[in-house]
Amino acid sequence: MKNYDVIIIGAGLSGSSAAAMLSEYKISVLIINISMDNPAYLKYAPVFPAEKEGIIKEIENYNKFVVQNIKKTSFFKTFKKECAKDLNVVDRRRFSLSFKFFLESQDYIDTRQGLVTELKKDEIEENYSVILNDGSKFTAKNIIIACGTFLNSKVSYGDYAVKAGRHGEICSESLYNNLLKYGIMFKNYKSFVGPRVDGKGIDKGKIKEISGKRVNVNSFKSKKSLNVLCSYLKRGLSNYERKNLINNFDDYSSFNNLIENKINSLQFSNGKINFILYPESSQSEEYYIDNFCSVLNENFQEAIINSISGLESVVMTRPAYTIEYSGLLPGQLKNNMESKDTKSIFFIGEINSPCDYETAISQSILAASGIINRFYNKPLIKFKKNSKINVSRETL
Amino acid sequence: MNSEFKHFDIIVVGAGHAGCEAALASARLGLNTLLLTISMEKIALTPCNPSIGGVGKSQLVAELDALGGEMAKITDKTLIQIKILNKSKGPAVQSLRAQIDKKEYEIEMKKILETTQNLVVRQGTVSRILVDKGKAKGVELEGGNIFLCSSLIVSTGTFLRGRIIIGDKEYQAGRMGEYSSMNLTKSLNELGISTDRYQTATPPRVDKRTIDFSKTIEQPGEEEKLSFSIWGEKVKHKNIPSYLTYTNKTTHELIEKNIEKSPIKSGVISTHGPRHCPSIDRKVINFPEKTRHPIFIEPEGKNTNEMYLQGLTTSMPVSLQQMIINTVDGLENARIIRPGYAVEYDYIFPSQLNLTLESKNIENLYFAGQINGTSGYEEAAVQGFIAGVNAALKLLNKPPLILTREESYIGVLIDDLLTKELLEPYRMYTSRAEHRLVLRTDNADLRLSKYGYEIGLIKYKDYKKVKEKLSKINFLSKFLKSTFIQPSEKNNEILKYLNTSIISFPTNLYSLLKRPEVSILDIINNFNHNFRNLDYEILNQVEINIKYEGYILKQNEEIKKYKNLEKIFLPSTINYHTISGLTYEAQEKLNQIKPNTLGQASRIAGVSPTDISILMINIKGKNLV
Repeated sequence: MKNYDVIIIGAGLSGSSAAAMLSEYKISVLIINISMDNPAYLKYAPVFPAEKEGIIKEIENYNKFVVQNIKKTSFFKTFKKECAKDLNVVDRRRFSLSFKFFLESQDYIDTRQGLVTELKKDEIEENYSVILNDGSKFTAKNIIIACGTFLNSKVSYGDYAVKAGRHGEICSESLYNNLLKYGIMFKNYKSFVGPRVDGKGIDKGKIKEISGKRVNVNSFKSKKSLNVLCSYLKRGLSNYERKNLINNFDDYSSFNNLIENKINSLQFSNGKINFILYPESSQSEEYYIDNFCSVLNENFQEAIINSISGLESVVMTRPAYTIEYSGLLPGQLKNNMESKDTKSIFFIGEINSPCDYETAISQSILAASGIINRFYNKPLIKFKKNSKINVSRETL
Repeated sequence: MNSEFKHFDIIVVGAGHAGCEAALASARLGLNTLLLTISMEKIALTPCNPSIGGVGKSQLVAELDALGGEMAKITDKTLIQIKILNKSKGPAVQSLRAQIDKKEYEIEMKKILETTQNLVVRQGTVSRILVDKGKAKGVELEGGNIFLCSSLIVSTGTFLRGRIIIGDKEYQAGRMGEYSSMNLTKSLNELGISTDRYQTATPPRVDKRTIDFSKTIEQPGEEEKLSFSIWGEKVKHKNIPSYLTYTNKTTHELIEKNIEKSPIKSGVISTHGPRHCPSIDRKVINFPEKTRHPIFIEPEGKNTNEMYLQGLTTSMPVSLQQMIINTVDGLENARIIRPGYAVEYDYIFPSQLNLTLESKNIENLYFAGQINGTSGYEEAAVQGFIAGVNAALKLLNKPPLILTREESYIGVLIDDLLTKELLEPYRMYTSRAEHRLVLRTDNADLRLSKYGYEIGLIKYKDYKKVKEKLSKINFLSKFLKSTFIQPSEKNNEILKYLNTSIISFPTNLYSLLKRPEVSILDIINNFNHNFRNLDYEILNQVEINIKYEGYILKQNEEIKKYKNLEKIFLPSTINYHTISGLTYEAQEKLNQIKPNTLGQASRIAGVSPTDISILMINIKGKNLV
């Protein structure tokens, strides 16, 4: 059986990006994901914003494909400094499908659907075996663990909670238990995904449309006109909502980003909260509401959404939700994202803590460079001192 | 019930092929509709074969299209290959089959749902069905949210307590990677709806780059202009080929040697799977005499290297799946991307429904699709449509849409579901329809668009076209009957030229067309030029009608005879395996059940009208005793 140079566990944005970069350097990769339907799925707002343009430019030097894919699958661009400065709004489905096809087409990459349950170290061969839940076994010299929010995780909103890595997708429990044996220390992280609404109900008269340039839309066969929308909310929490909030979430005060907390603080000031609504795709009516994290139940979320200007009569198509998952306790990784204690195991992406897309990609570049430099036994890839990619690591 | 909850006219649970058609039909009929799905990213997924249509199934799609459904239209927009099956056979069994781009199909359906008025699509997992005084009143979601409705349609596919099995491994999932709905079955059972378990399976997908296509036979699509939808324009499609290869002795030996590891043998799977879509394990056990089985290698889409291995369905351990694949010509180095697996799920006994697919016990509660024990996207879609339309018509105080066996495959499907004993997931075949000579894809519009127009899902301008077509057909048929040609020298010269016998007395064109060697184009080109500009469709209909007239009359006679089937007794000593001509499936079923009468035999799922005819002939010939 083929012994891979690297096995990547998880084909989210960080894992897929690492695979793309490694294959450039002719390093053989097997990338495994619970479902091959949606690799590199962007679960937050589908935007690569302008203020991070610097890091994106830097990323392009190391990993051309990721940036190309952003450009190829974005359908809206704006350069105006209105209430948002978005560089690219991407169609997350197209981003994923195009990434999937890229991975499948690279000479040095194999893709495989499966849930990893166990890592086994072979001391003599200096290899790792990766065991899947279907009983299959694969071996490699290096392991990149990029399973994002899927370890031991729970998706919840209101009273509802289900074992899941993302909404609708099963999580991985055995791998977590297995990694404990390697002395990896974990802590609980929380990550928040925003709600979606049905664009049909938006009152565009009450909402600011951020003008920009539609791009690539023809190739997605859209005839509709789409704009990024901007709206605001100006009110406090009702007593009923506050009670529900407290019942639902005991340590809510520590999460300033929660919409319920923001609304709460509105009561003491005359400010307002701005929201940006990103279309899901040029072929969909759904909008993602950015800047809206919540642990409330669906009814309350929808009530808050309906009190946003212009959204009075929209239907919430998907609620905002929280993912609670096990990720690495900080301080266990070297500069190249390799475990300090266990050689040749790398951790990248949200398993290290919730992060934005740019950070996830940066970490994939660090791990991939570590492996590439070691593979060729010379420093092929270097980073400048003030490299933004390096900075993304230091926050850990 | 509390009025603080949102109320919809109709709620549809599940956004697969049944749920999508149900929700579209109901919303298009003007009813305020909510469609609930576990995941907004998985709408109208085709988790198994990336294809729409096929024998028996394309008839369903055509009928759905004639009534105002969506499936055929989306297929046209997203297909990557189109073929005519049974091309050399008669028009009654000819069928269209399209390979579709899986992901584009999903994206297109989601777009159509979202742009349909009166329709709200929303993410949510239903945990409980709310019933008040024997009537469906709404749903409760996991998490406690409640939506109320006047009518409820349940189309949850394989998600009710779904369990995936690969070799000796098993875990809960509705489809690979997705969690299933664990609580809804309990809620259904509490309402007195009985359920049982079925199983279905899907083959492995392999990496296109690891296949040696030089050892396979390319299967190109059709060159001619085609359209799945009768309302669409026929165009020449850019076809992506699929490929044919075969299993061999080594494959079969490997499977036989390891058969104990197959879940169907090891006892991990004890439920019934579809016999029409047997796993390779079962094929090897059941057909020891066959030295090879065909494997079709089909692309899953334009922009993917995943290839579907039709014919290699298995839920053996993955290491064995890999070995089995590698014994096949062209697949020696093929690498699995997704292993094959079996999924076990709850379905309801469809005999608990009436012809509108409404529950007999609970008013305004409808069931459609795989939850009713069927298999196939097409079977699911038509049920969704019928449930959606009927739920809507009832709320609008209009008479229901009930299609009979005599006028449609949809009628056959629903009648079979309600009356026949199902031992396995139900799939449509042309042989299930007694009236199949009349129920063709080419006349689905003539048969059914009237209903589509009456209920309000077909526009008048479209229906008008069908009406015009029909009147042209009738006019031409009458003309052929009333127009006689003289036995003149000139006419007989023409007949000789057409390789058919000459006439000695005035003969109408209709009788000439009845001759197998004479086509309608021969007649029109030689005896009446006025009809030259008529549409091919119209000429084709007239030709089929006239040429088939005799067969259709004969078929009707046969059907009449069926009514006497109850009086024909079958001795219990018959070994049906010895009766040649019966399908293997029928032989097995008949041996298992040993029906007392031909009538009983005819109601067994898997025993087709053709099988009954064969039995009847054998009884007459006394071969049976």
